[in-house]
Amino acid sequence: MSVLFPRLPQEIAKAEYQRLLTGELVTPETSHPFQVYSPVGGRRADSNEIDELAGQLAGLAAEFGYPESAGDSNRIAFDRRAAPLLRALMDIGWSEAEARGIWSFMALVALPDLTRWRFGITNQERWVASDLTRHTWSRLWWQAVVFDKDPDLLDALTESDLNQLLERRKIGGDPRLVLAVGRAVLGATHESVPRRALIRDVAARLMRRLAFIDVRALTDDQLVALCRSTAGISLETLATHPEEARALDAS
Amino acid sequence: MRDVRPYLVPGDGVVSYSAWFLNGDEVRPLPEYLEGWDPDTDLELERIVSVDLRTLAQQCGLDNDEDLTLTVSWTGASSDMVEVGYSAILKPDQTVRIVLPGARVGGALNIRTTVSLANFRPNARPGTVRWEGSILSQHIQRLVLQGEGAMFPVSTVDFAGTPYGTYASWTLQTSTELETPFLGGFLLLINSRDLEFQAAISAESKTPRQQLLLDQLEAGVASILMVLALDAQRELIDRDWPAGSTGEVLDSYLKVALKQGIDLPVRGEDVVDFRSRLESAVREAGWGRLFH
Repeated sequence: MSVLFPRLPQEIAKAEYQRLLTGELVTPETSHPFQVYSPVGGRRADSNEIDELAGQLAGLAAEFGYPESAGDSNRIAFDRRAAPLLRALMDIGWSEAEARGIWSFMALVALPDLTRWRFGITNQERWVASDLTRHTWSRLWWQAVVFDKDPDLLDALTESDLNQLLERRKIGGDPRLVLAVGRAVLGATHESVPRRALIRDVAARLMRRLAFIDVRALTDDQLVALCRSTAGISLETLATHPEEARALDAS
Repeated sequence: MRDVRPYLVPGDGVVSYSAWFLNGDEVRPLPEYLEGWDPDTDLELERIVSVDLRTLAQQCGLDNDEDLTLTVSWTGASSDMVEVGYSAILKPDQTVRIVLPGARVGGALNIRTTVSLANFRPNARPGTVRWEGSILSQHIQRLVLQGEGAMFPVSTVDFAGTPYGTYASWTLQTSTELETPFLGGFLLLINSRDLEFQAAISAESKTPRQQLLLDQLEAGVASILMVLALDAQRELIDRDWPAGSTGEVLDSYLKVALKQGIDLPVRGEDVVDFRSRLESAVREAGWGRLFH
């Protein structure tokens, strides 16, 4: 039976976030007086489990400098390791993981110190969940789902790569497609083409193809061929039009 | 709205999709809203896809022996996560069975059935399909899985100390992010202080008074959605919204409101007229207590 985690309703989460902005000291807790649960779908996580989750993530973060401030590379390295750990610690169904309130609870109640260490406090969507690909913790849980069959690929992709793939939901919602595109982009290199420009161009070309193609109908080999050929076209185009590559890289 | 594709596609009726059926103790047609769904239970669905292959090939400019693929996948409207349930070479009459795994579905789903080209056609004539995976025909079935028979996710909380009125029976958490999934942004919160209201919601067999409370709730929720739709009407009009999005839901409420000539009140004296028109529109659309 899967586990149900507490949820913070949106208005409560926004109010908690406002408290955070006013500088109120926010300490990790295992519950909130106004938390709610899904009425069905499993047993409720108890406070020990939430405490354990917070402890394990804090322990991992300590390897990357927490609680002292850390540079981008350390915090991103934390993300990569935290994604599978978070998923292992949160044995929840996809329906539960779609609930924004769970992630708001994680950021604002269970893990406020880690959330602040990872992203600071200025960006509300890192705290109050709306877009699952942007929230501090939901993005990691879903990354672990998407890269379940190739966790090394997640390590090999940059934060910018992930944004390009995962925030375009027609690509990012299909793990098989994400893996095929990711591998194709990593395998297509040219000294004058920045990877950020390449992946943006590949993603844009694929999005145009997806208007007419059902990639779910393709065999694995066909999908790999589609992604490789798209990456090849992008690479060739950008290599012969470096001004376009520079513009894409800068945008 | 019919898709427009840069190649020939079969005419209406060449590919025929039966309704989806839900297998179980008894086989029954799949409703759009499946109440009493339990996430620990997988759902087995079945449908028949029939196609006149010869006519399809003629109309699409294909050889008679061209392989086509029949594929069924589903997308969670709230997460946009996709899974494939079935993929096989298309035959004239094909029974398709899929299993929706309870652990990986929930909320609103779009179940998509496609007929597409199986293999690349290097010598395709202009105007005919060339690339493998190119969709020749598709059908999308929307399915909303509901754990407790409610339109919205529902939770109960004590309103005292919250931003909500302590003596309100309920409130609706809303979202004005129009592109985002409706079920991801809306949550019906019940005040745990209102024991009678809670009992009315959970009662399997409702007394007339309990039914009246639920009618009031339904009308109240519909009124809020209509007001939100009117407030967002400039963004809502003349756009196609993704299935299951807040924009799609509010657009349907906006159409009801505009049909009744309702606009948001500007001056204080407009409130009376607005309230009566809103109540009328909500009732005429079938929400809340109806006239008999």
